Amino acid sequence: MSLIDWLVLAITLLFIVFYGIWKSRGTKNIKGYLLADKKLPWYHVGLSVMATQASAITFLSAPGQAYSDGLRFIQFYFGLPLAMVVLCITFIPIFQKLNVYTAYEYLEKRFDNKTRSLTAFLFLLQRGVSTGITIYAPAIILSTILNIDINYTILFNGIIVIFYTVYGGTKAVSYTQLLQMSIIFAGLFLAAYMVVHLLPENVGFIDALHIAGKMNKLNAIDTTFDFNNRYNIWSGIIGGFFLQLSYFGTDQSQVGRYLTGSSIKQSRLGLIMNGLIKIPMQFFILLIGTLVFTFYQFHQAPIFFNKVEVNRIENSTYKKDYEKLNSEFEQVHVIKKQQVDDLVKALHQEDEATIDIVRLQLQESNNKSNSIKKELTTLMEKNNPAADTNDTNYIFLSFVTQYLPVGIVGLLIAIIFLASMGSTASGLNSLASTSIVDFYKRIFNKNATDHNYLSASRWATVLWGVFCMIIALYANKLGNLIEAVNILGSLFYGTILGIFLVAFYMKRISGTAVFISALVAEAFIVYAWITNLTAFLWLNVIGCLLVMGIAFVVQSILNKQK
Amino acid sequence: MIKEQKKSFFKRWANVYAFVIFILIVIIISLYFFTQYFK
Repeated sequence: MSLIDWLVLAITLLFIVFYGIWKSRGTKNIKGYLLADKKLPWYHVGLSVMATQASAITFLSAPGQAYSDGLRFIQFYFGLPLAMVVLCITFIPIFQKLNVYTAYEYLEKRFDNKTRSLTAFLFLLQRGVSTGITIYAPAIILSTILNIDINYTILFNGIIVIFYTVYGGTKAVSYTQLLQMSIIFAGLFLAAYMVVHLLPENVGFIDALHIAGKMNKLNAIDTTFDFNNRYNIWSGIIGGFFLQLSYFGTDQSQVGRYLTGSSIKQSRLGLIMNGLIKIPMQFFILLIGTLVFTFYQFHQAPIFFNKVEVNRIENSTYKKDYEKLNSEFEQVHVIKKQQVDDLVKALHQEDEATIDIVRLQLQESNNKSNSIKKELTTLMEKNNPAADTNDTNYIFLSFVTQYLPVGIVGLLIAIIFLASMGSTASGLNSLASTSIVDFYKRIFNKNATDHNYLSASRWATVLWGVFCMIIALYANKLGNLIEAVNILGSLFYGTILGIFLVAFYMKRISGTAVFISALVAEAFIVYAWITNLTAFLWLNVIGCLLVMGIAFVVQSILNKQK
Repeated sequence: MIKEQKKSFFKRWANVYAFVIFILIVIIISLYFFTQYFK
């Protein structure tokens, strides 16, 4: 990376951090620290909600996922607008009217303290680990680019976020996120423009889409129903709906964002804005990945994008096998490039017969490239059983650093940092507020002063920051990061959502019944995950329905005993 | 009076929610044709 890129990166990061600190100065009480005094307008709430969900993982993994797997990941977000509608109708009015600091506070008002504590505990467990992963994601970048120890980059990123989150609380988080999202949108448009600009002269944007489409990379909709297929329209709408409803309705990192709205109306508008913008935004990010794929049909792509693993195999006893595979991979690329050129010609001449023939040839060549790559990853595992054989997270970064001009590289890397900082800050803020409001203030120190709670919140932020950094140091064994976070969420969200839905819609169920059902449902979900019973998105549906069903049965038994 | 106010309030928001669901349907249909067109 050049000096100019470093300057762009440093100035962008410093500007955002100091802007957040400046805007949040004068926070003197716990309401200001945890809820930003409940004064934020809808667009602030909306962008903050989006920035919390769009972590660095979104910008690292999603284009890579589109590169290797096409657009089908977009279906994951189909349930989101529906979830926003349910949240606006049910969750927001209840949370806002009860004037709660955390979502779990409501559960004590509705059930009892043990249900509140169990739900808050499940949240802390899940969010603590997820936030650790969001710190880890951008650390890969610096360690790859600068060839420095990943541990130092984790510490650097973690300390910056802890600094401004501890100082300014929710206000600092929200104000930095507002600016972060603006820069992120600008950077993404620039990246998309650059990919198209770097294509050969005779290949335009539409041609690039045709090439990607003919190689099965624009498969945005899959209507086949299969419980074990991760992304199809049904798992996206039904499973995605339950996952998004639990994430936005019961995860304090999101509830904490829309509780800052100055009224019910402002919070609702913020979530509706998120519901309308999220799918197009995610589509755009994935589309950049498919354009990068098209770009690499004209330029030789590395056989494996993670240089560290390539260096490892090059310096092993399998060096000759690697060189043989690499040369085969390059030969296939030469053939593929010729076929892509033929396809472009046929497209320009609108020669449908040739297009059909070349499409089949291209798909065959692509399968060959994939099988060579598969052979290489098998070799890597043979050489080192702990090798990271998933290079999805490195694809977009390799492209950015190798092909984009000076200045833009720094800006795009800053974007990945900013995204990570935004979601990490929300995560730390929510971990601190849940620890203080649901445990410290409720159980350990009920009648302390406001000042005491404020300083306890700051200390809790520091401690959770340290915990998340420790998790980040061990996160490199989790494969595709965006999936790891979603799988982790799916293990707990279904149960948590079930508890909230029972609270809202099943008025006759008591705290004891829902508590027992939550424990049984969670045990089953963990069992279902370990035994690979179904694709992870369905775990949200199963967990939620189990809690509701078991709570109903247990309550009937309790009623009969009485 | 209060009942009427509540009703119009719900009606106003119901339109917003219907709009969100309508946009979702439009997006899904557009993506379906997008997939088919570039296949």
